[in-house]
Amino acid sequence: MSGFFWLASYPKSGNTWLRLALPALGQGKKVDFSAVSDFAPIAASRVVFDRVMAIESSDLTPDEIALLRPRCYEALAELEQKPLFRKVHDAWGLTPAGEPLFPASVTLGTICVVRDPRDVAVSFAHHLGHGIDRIIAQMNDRQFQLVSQQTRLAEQLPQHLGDWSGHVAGWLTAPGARAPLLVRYEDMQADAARELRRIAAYVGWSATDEAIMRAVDATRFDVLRAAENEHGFRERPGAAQRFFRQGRIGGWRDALTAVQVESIESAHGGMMRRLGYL
Amino acid sequence: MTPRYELCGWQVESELPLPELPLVEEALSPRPDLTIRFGEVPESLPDLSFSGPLLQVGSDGTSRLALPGGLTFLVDRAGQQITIATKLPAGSPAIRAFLLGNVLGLVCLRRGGLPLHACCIALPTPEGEVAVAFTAPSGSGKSTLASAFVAHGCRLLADDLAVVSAGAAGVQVLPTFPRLRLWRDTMDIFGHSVEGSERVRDEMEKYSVPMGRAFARKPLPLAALYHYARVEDDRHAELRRARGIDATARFLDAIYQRRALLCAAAADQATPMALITRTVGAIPEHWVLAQPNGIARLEQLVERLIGKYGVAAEG
Repeated sequence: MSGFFWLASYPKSGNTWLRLALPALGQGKKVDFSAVSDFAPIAASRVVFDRVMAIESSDLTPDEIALLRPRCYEALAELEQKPLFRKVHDAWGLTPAGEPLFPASVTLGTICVVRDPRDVAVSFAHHLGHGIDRIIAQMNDRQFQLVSQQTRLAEQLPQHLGDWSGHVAGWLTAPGARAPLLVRYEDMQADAARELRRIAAYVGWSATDEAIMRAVDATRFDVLRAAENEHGFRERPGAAQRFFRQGRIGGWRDALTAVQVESIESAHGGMMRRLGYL
Repeated sequence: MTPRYELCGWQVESELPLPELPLVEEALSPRPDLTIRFGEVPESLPDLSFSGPLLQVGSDGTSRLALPGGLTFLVDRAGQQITIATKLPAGSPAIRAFLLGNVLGLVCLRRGGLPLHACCIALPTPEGEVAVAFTAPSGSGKSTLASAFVAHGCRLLADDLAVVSAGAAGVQVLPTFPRLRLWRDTMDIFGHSVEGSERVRDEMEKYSVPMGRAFARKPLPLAALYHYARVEDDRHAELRRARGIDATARFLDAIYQRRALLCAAAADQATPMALITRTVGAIPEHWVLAQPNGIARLEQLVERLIGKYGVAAEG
């Protein structure tokens, strides 16, 4: 019997950096973009769900899939001895049966990665190839679905994302064996070593200073950009020019109009203040 | 009299009407190969060799699949009888969606065939038609690929579940059933009207498209198995032969619901590994194909493969 550490974030908040840095830290692995990264695969993997549940989720409705996902995580935890790491973009929430989508009984902990929503908007717009106004509307929409299963079948299961503030608030109180650990993108950039040390302590890894520095060096933004130039990055969506674009803090100042900034701040001011962004 | 249908080359008598399946022209024997009926299904099976959240497999190979919403299937150890317990109306598409998917996979293995998670099309060659199969995880575009071949005049053997059978004549693919199950976006791409098309589930925009004459009703020799994936970056495109252990490992991965179903196969039969290695060795070509995304690229692929294996189809 094991359980999960959820690497939970709204998209474009630094989750992928963490998924590259943690194996570099824990297993001393080099970051290799010529291979598929297998650390912390997405929790909403269709392939895994279908295998564990012995069912074709393509024949299930989104509600039926949501009903069954807690059973999938329980069954996976039952099969494993070591902690399981999973990336999550779903909002923390309840299934149609009223139970948590991510059961507390198999939650070892949650690493909640956040980023200034004004920078998220710019990055997300490039990622999806959408206009910024459309992205801001999505970030303000409590009903927003990141992946749906209405008119097409995606490689991932349907995922409810909801609005940005609700997403952060939900994961910051996710129940489990440990209270969630908040990690800010901006802090990871300012002092990656310090943040990795915090995360290693949270998940129970002993990490030497040397291992920490190796992981930090292997996942510097310029190193990741160069690796993407060389090999491409398999998680880049078709609409995006590149996955590792700028990684800038405060880039929104040059990219958003005053009206767009106002729209984000008025919708999410409360949570932005709580996280130190306002 | 209970109607008799064709499914994977078997004759099937079913209390549940199965409009997807062709009716048999002539009963080959008084006993059908497979009987489908409504009845009681036990709450659980004794002596389990596999126990998942939805599927149970008994040590004798009997399988029980329970779905949300009160729909349960029981497949007997010989794969000769399916019992359905449900309060859903008999015409509910949900029953057939699972029957002709997961439940069919269980039946295949109990009957000694290997179900692959693959689409399969018939390609004309100067020596006659051959089967070419493409295996991929759900959501990777198998049905879209099959649609593209059909649009080029090729006939379909299987949409999502291809049944291979290894015998003296080599590896053959059995024709599954004459439908493509397509999501709305693929319907639109290939100009299928959703008006009047039956939905696979009432709640979903996934449709069951009859193939009519574009279905190959006889088993065909498998000429090649492609392990298919879509990639976004041209640098990740790939086309190479897979051989030896690589081919075997990929074939194992391609078995429909492998983890659960191999339990069902192994429950009381000789190890399925012998059957699997024999089948892998008898397939003339195994390929790894990572295909760049996009419909124009897909068209090029289909034309290239039709040219590779034989002659351009008419019509």
